Amino acid sequence: MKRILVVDNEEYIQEVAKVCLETVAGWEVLLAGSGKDCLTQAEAEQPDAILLDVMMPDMDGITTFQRLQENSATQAIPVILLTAKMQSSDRRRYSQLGTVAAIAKPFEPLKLAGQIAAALGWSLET
Amino acid sequence: MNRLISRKLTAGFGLACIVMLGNDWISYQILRKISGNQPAVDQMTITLSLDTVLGLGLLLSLYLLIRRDLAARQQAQAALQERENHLRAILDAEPDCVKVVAADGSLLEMNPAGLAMVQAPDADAVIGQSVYPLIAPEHRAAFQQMHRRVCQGSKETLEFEIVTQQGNRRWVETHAVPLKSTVDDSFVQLAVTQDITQRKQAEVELYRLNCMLTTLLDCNQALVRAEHELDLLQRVCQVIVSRGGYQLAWIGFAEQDEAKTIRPVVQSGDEASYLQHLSLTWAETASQPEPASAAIRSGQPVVRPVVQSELAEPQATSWQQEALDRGYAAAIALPLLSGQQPWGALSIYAAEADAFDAAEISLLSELAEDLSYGILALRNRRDRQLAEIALQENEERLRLALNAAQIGLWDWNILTDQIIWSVEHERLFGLAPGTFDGSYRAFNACVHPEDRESVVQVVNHARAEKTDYCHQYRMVWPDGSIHWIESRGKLYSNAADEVVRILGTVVDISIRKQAEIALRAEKRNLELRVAERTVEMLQVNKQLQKELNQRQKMQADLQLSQAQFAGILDIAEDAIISIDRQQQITLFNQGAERIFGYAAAEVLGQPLDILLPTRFAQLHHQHVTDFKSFPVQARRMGERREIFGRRKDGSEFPAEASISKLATGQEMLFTVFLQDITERSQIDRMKDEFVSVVSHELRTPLTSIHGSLGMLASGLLQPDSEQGKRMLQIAVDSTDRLVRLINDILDIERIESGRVQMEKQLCQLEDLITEAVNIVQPLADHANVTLSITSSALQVQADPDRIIQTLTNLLSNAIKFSASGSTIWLTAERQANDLLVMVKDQGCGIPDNKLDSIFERFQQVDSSNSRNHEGTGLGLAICRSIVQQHDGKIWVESRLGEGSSFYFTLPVEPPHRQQAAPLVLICESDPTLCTRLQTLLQQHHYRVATALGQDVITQATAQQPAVILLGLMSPDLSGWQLLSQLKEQPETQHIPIMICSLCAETPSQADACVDWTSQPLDESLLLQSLSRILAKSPGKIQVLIVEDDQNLAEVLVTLFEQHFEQYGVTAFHAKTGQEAIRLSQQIRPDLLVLDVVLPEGDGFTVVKWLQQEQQLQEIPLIVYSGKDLDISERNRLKLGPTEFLSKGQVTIQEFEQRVIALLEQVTETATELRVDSREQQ
Repeated sequence: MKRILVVDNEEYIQEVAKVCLETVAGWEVLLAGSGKDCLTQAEAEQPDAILLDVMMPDMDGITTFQRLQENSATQAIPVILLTAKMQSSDRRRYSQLGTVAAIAKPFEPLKLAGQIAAALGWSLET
Repeated sequence: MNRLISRKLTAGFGLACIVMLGNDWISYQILRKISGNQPAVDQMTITLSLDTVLGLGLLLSLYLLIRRDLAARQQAQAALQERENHLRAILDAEPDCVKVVAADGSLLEMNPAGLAMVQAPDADAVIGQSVYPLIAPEHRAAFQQMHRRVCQGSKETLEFEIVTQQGNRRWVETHAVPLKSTVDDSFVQLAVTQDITQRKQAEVELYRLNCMLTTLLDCNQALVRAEHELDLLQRVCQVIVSRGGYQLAWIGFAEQDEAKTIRPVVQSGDEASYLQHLSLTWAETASQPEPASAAIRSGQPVVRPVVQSELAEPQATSWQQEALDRGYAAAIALPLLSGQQPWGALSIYAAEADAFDAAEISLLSELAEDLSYGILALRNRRDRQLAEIALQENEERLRLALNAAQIGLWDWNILTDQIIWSVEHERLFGLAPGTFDGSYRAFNACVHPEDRESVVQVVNHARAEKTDYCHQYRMVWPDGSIHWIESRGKLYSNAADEVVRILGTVVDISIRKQAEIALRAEKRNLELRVAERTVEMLQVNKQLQKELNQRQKMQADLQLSQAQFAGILDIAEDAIISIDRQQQITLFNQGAERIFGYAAAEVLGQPLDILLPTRFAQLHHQHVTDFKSFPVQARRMGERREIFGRRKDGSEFPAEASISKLATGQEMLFTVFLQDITERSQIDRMKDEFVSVVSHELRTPLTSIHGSLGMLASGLLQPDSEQGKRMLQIAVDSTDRLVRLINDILDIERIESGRVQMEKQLCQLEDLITEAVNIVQPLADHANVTLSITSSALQVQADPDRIIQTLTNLLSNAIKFSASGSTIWLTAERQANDLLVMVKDQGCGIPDNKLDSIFERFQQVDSSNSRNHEGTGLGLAICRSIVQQHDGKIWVESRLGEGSSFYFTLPVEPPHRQQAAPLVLICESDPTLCTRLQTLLQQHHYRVATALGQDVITQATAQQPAVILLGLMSPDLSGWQLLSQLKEQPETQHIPIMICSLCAETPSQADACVDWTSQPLDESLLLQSLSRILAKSPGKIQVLIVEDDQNLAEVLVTLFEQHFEQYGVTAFHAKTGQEAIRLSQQIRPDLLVLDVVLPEGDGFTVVKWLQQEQQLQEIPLIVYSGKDLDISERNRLKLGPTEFLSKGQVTIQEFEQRVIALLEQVTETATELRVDSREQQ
């Protein structure tokens, strides 16, 4: 079973994403409420992927991703951005960063898991 | 699934969101009023479905983006609007066409002058349409090219023809500059276009006329000066070629030989030997004769285009082929006439096919006539010379003839009166031989009757004077012919000196005479013709002078129009700067002065470098040098990099510029067209930031709603399961948050855009505080936070609901950030010019770097999830907007870890109350006590006067104080005496008197006094007594009602006198503006109720007049009018505290309330001010 870390400062979004991924894909979902929390958990829990919000207070998703890359313990974990900022200039920036994919908010609850799986080359077990 | 989105937007005061989910999942309705005082007149109903939530979000984003962008630029826009209006006015008044053309060629804008130029019936006929139908077909390509270059950012000038909507063609000159569209940042064309049709025509006509007139003038000069025929002809040909700008001019004589040869006698410009290759004849042989030949034959001017001969005659050399070979495109031949008879032709050849138009032919014909005349005149002159020569020859011959006995000799013996005639006389007198008897009578009969007298006289005269004589007279021959005779007489005298004999000769001089007469006549004729030609030439010269004057005037007009264009350039917003080859500034318009901060005089002649940041100077120098050899005439600068300008103060700014070059002779001139884009860059940046923030803020709750409801809708979750219920809760909470967010955003936009007016009224601040506290108390209780409120009775002119909203926001914020068990303080106090409200908490505090930005939208300090559900990030921004709309200030002071204090101020009305403060007359003989009383009362906003003894009576009578404060130890009159005097006099008896006394006993006259106070002075007791006395003072308020409707006036008078009886009101009534002014002076009303529309001076006049009077300029005013008043009108209707009540829109209750509020201000001002100040102490 895949383990995925959902990072978002919005508690409700964490919860909804968790329900979506658990219900649709049956993955195990870990939650983090800040960039800092994400770094800690990523290193400790070694999830199979990280679904990372971009606009977060204190440490934003971009910085968080860079920190993950700098740390050899976390640099291999694929990161998918989850963001409301999806203008073309933003998309270009994300692809230059080296993240696997970026998914727009609001996400489609039934398709979210499929999008993640597709980006990572996973097959969905229902 | 219900897919309907319906929207109803009115000028909404309320907003309700109904979130409906299909299949009866849930129906949740939230009704929310934004402002409680306003009736929820309408609701905005949004029916949302799962699939349309996103759509709504986008819709709102868009709406908000527009609203927010507008608000961010509000200030700039106001200025822009003003500038726009100003420019619009200039544009409308601009005599030249000004238009804006979109990149696709559609016309976006055109001023009235432009519409007139294209003869459009109205703006709609052309605005929004393509401009191309207005452009003459042959010019469309040029215009399109120019337009493309302008839309790529360069400045262009083009002359072309337009076709007006009524089908007329006009030449125009257009000066086009690129203008960046605010819509999509593309360029559009802004052009100033002038009708140059007249100028064009004038130019062409002027040029031709000028050439022709010069030619004519020069030819005439040649005619006048010419001595020899060939010289004249040669000169004329030269002038025609050199002045007239023709290729070839020649003159041929029509020889009267058998071949009818045309003999070229002079030519100019025939370097290519055109004439040599032709054999010219004026005989009717050639089918396509040389024009000269045709002209001589016809005696008329002949114009021929030079074309390839269709009838090729290989053996004969075609004149047209020869002409073609030499580049002639048209030819004209003008016959030279003597009378009707052609004797030659003047031929002219031009390189332009259209060189000889009607005007030109007419001028050239005139030239040919002049030339003919000149030749004839020359020939006449020659003839005369010949005649004179002939005459001399004749005389010679006569002399010879005389010598050969052609002279008659006669001998007159005076003594015998015998005349002996020689035989020649018979022939000389025309008589037959032998018929002349030699008598004087017979001689006399032959003399012309008119000359007989003179013959006798001459002889008698000669005899008397004894001189020889010579006399000419006429003889009439028997055949009637008249012959001139010259008779010479030689007188001989005897010794006694008596004339005894005259010996004479007679010569027939008829031939000579005739020649003389002919010559004289010819000479007169010549003189006449010279005079005529002189007059003609004078006329021609006068005409020429006139034409030259006209041309000069046209040139002056052209200069003027250029000056006008320069004026337009100067009002341009953009900088227009020209530099020469050395890159020194040669032109610096007013736009450049504005943008760079230099005066033109400071920079002209300076290197361009002074306008550039030092680090770019070298680079820029190179760019300009490169551009010099660049093939295009104009291009945008900084296409590959940002460019910056440097102002006089050294500051830099981002700029957009284009450069064009112009070669003028040796000189290369560059013109730079530059805009300061600082503001635009900032706005762009702010827009980008805002888009991402709003996008994030709106998408956050939408994500939760969409996700949770999506899961429920999918059926994968059971709604009644724990998880399902949680998802529903999240959806509900997030919907709530979204609604709050939308409400707040709409709210703040409405406040900032000024669409929501602050409903200011006189409020008790304490009441507002109480209401706000009531709202947040449950929150505080829940958070276990104590609210500590300190406030006093403070009045403020404010919108109560908005102030409550502000207080609620600040309090709930404080509660949110307060730890359990902590306290929040709210205080309100009076400062010098305003009220200061503070909300202080013991929360975590705000870092220094956030203190400024915290009032911006979506700028929460702590966004950690647990606390952020309730907040929208707009609360403080709304507070700031509300406070600013009240002309107040809002700020925060904070220490990290210790807590924050939010402050805001509300201004109190300007201190007009000072004027209304009651006057207290102090009569106290003890100077120390007097000073103390004076200071005390002044501190408490009373006006104070002092007097002693009899002066008290005088002053009380004159000044009518509100209260007299009487000490009982007065020096000359005792206090008691004063008291009784004051109470006896009618002028002073109504004035309340307060006695300060050391006497503890109550004196007998105490009834007359209203109050007592004892010494040592108890200040608070004294002030209290004073307040009490003043509040009770009766019959003091005078209300002036100005109303022209008699019925309404009566109602108002009754209302005031009866309903406000407790205030002791006396109501006066004025029907006209003039009456109002007069009554105001007399009664000095305490309150004015004023209608606006009045006879004899309206409400504005009355107010304007009252504003001039110091004692009246601050009286409270109620404007009670049926007229809708705008802001500027309201501003003009201001005295003291002013209320605007609309007739028919105010109930009688409201009217009463407002009046009471104002009356209370009048009566209680002093009291209230005193209470305030005591509390401050």
